[in-house]
Amino acid sequence: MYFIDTAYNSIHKHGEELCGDHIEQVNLEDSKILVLADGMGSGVKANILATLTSKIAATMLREGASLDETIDTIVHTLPVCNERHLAYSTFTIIKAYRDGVVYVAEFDNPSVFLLRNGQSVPINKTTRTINDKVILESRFMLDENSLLVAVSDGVIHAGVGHSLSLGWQWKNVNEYLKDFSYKDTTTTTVTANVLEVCQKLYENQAGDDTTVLAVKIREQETINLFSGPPKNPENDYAVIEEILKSEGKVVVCGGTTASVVARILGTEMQVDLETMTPEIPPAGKIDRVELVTEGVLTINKAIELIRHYQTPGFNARAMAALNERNAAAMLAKLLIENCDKLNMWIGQAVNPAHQKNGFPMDFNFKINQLRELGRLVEKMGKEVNFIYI
Amino acid sequence: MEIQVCIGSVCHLKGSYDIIHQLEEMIASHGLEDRVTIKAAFCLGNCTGAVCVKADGEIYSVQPENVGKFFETVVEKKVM
Repeated sequence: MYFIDTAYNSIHKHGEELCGDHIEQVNLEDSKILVLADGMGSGVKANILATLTSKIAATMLREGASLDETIDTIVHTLPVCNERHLAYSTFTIIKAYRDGVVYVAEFDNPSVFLLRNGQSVPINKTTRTINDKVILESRFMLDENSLLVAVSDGVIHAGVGHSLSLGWQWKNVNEYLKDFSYKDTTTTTVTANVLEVCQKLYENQAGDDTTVLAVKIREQETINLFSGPPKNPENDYAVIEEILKSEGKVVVCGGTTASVVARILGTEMQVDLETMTPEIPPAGKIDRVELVTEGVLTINKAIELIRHYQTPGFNARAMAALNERNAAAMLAKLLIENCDKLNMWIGQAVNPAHQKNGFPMDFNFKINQLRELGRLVEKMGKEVNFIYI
Repeated sequence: MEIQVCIGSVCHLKGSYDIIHQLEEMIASHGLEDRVTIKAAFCLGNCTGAVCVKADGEIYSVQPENVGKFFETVVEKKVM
């Protein structure tokens, strides 16, 4: 069973406050359903059409409705545009299963891109007509070196009226995506890179809503985030043994926690002063631990970075902030890109120094902060478990 | 000689970033790079006396305003 790694983002048409493309994701036990809809026109009208289409499709398919029923419902629900006397939204539906099987249904969106081992893979599609709409259906397999990308037409038209007379074009996008199909590239990297190119081709004035959705599969990556020493110091040894034995990588947040881990492992921690900024204390390294950071300040900043990353609309600066060399960015990036399942080991020991000295963050703040971090990670379609120790 | 400056939450807020940079400058201006190294450490266990600085096994409470004095009385005395 694989983890289905998905990422998507959009650039709004220049001058528009709302995006006329919309993506809905549904996470099921054995699969993920993604619907990319591009509403006719732009602005409010397009936004409503796209949101309705993707929400209806995602909800109905989740509940087990057939494609016919779903499309029938969409056709009968969409409000009709006063100017064009049409109700119209294109869509791409992707259902990816954890064993690698993928089902795709496309209606009038640019054809999806499928790449494997640096090569473009042709997809066999069958045609089906539902309510006078011609739907292209396909089924294929993904492996760890495959990449599936769906886009709205804003991507293949990127550059029209600016740098390119015909736009970026499907075949060029396909060529560009080849290098991203390999195992070590995450979907976040794919969407960020594609949108950055679009941004440049449009010279920061997108002529249309521009959306990218990327799907990959990979072995499940688990992160054990350990913050705060256990309530009872007698449990230190047992708890740390258990965490280190758990599947996946270990991240330690908190100075005291890190000292306890280093002591129990009988090693010393190395601090990387290069990663220190006036705002965030530096990251450290302990054997068998992926990342060591200070606690409250770093987590607070990481939450800010993840929130910024999750804000709808592509933001090159939010992406760049994740690649900076400081502990908060390293933590946020790890949770966004290399974490499918997060176990949060929350220690409930009270740090006496935080209770006095005018330190503005008390015990409840710390616990709430960790819960908030977990909630944000959950929002990205990952499994999060809280373990109080 | 090794100086460890705590960079835990409390110490960080009380100015460890500043202290590390001030110490680095002082060491450079006195040409002591070969004899004194500065390291950061997570929580030295004396958060109420932030910022904790450990030199030769002893823990001192240092603030950004009195780094100079710490350097004169502790560091210079020991290495010069």
